[in-house]
Amino acid sequence: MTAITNAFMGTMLWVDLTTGSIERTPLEEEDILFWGGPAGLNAKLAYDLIPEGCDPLSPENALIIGNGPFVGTTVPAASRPIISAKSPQTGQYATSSPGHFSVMMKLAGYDYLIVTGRSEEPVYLTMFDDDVALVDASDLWGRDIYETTDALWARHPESWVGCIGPAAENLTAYGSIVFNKYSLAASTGLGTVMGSKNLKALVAKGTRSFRVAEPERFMRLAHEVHVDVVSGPHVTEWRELGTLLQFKSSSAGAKEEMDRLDFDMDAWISLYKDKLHKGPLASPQCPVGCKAMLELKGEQFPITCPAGTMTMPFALYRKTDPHRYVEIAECAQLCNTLGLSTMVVTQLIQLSIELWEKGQLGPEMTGGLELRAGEPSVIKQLILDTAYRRTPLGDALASPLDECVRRLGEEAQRYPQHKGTLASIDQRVSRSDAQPWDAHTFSMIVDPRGPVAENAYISLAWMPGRTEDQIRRYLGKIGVAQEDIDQVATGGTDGWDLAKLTRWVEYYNLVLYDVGSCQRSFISKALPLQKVVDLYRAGTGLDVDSDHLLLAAERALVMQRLFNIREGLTRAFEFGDQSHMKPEHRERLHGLLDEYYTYHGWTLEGVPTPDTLERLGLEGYAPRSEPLAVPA
Amino acid sequence: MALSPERATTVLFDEKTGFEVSPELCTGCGLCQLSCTHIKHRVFSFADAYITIDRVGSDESFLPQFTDDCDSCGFCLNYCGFEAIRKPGEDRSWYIRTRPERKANR
Repeated sequence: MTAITNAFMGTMLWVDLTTGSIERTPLEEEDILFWGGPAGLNAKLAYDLIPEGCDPLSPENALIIGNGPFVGTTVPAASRPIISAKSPQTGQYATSSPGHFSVMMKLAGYDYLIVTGRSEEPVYLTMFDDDVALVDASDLWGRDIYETTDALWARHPESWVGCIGPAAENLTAYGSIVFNKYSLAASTGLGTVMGSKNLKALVAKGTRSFRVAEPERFMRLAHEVHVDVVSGPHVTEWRELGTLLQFKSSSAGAKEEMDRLDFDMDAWISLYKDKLHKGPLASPQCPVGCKAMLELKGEQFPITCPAGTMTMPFALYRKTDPHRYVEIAECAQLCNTLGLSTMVVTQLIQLSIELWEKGQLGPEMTGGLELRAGEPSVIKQLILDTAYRRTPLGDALASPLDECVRRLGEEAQRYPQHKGTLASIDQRVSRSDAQPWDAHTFSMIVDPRGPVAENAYISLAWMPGRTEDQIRRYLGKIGVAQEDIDQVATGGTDGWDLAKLTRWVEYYNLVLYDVGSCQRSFISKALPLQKVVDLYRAGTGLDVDSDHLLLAAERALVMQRLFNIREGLTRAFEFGDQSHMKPEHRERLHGLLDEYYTYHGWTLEGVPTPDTLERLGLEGYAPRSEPLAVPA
Repeated sequence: MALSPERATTVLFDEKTGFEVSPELCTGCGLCQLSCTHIKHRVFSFADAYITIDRVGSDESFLPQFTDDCDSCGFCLNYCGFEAIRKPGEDRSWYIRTRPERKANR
């Protein structure tokens, strides 16, 4: 067993908050060869470290942060750590990859940080090269994201900070970790895991360096990717609109829904560009900058995902008047400041307003507040009530969804749920009678972390109207062999076998996660799988090829699934409540799941078969025949 | 915070290197530092770079500055996607511009 040296720091940092112990172990080359990088290794560590059935808010849960080999190099935008734990929101595998923190953590000397236990008093963790310490954070507890970050920057100049806000401190199920004020691990409640551990912040400042195996070759390849990225056709638009660009593209297929809501996308976009947007912000190593600095009433604030702000008006402002952009942005800013997932809280507030309108929710739940759609002061109040769990409604909205709808009553329980979340806004937008399960929607159904297209971020499918030639070229670029391309591409415009396409996109994206890369189309277009392989070899010096990395990616997907199966994942849970769908559409989803499971080498229950586990070298992780019940 | 190049108002001239610096354009992405340490030391690092990026104030605003060790090789300039550091008068029209011939192929 030898510690890996090239393109990694070779060190894992283990912090036990209960005992205060801080230990270092080598990151073994063998583990990197087997798992490829943190996409799989995180899942394996989570499986090994987090006891079966444990309460996500208990000291037994582990917060795992892993960095890949391209982090801290000149490969553009390869600055995504993978952060994992058991999710307080879904009870399943939690994982998120904000575009921040990893570079400084790596240059402080650490590829991995694993936090277990619970501190008795609030603390924050500093990683300054060899100097790793737990520091009293009682003066920071209760302070919001901006206040905390400013205080820590003042105390530790030029450090990078990831912290939680009041929402996660109060154990709201979907509290986020916010890095340097603008980069978010927003989904699945990873911030709340920190809150449950009394861990207010992570602070890193590193003066270390690392080498790659073949410096000249690595640099040349990375520069080729850089040139491809910055000379790409849509860079200027990405800078101006960030993730709104995606929203604009995907909503092109949802014209009916937009019309129904009387939503004027073009008007919103021009107001966003002209009135709100002050300039792009970039993740470390990113030459594009899809995040943004916005200006509100003379004050500037950073924002990670302009499309996230979009869900707010789209969901809550029926007959939206886009001229109310200031109020919309203020609501989004409030979520960021409190460290609360904008998307999740928006859906829950939307649910509350609908229940109020149906007479199913009264002032005894809201502390006397009268709920009204499109009224910013109401929305702001509900955001605050949720983050601080101030009213019976706020306390319910802050709970995991099962508990939340139980408290909100029978009508709330009729709302479609999927893997611990309400059927998402995206699903509503992209579903149509003609094509109820598009690539984006289906990938959310099967994603290990719930309805967020994380593993199957299918850039190809964002824009309708892809020709067969485009589809075949895309499949070749992401590493699909010719005989498989013939199976996936079914001919004609947008002609693909959805179940099969999803599997290959999952593998390709997991390879990108393994190396630390961004998945946005402007990056992935410049990173065909073969280029990733070439960089991986030049960086790590390990003898890998595309089949090796795809196999490692498959292991990652299976390991995430095995974690979830142990925590109660069944086919029925994956299928979710689709009672709002027409029978023929439910039937179609069953068919897709059959095809998807079979194509992966899993049973029709979605469990990897013994043969598949053996092929992947994961025999030791065979699940029990009877899965646990889904936790209530 | 990075504005678009057209909206940058501050242009600092670094006399030693002969390079221009527009702090408003810098996003603090660090690519200049990582490319610098690689070309000079064959490692990736922030601390060993001949350019520093200090955070200014409490939002994400930055000031890039060349250190005394910088020999003005200009390697880092190729990595600044935001043109916050650049050679005066250099034609960078190939960089971050729509390439119509590529667009037509898509």
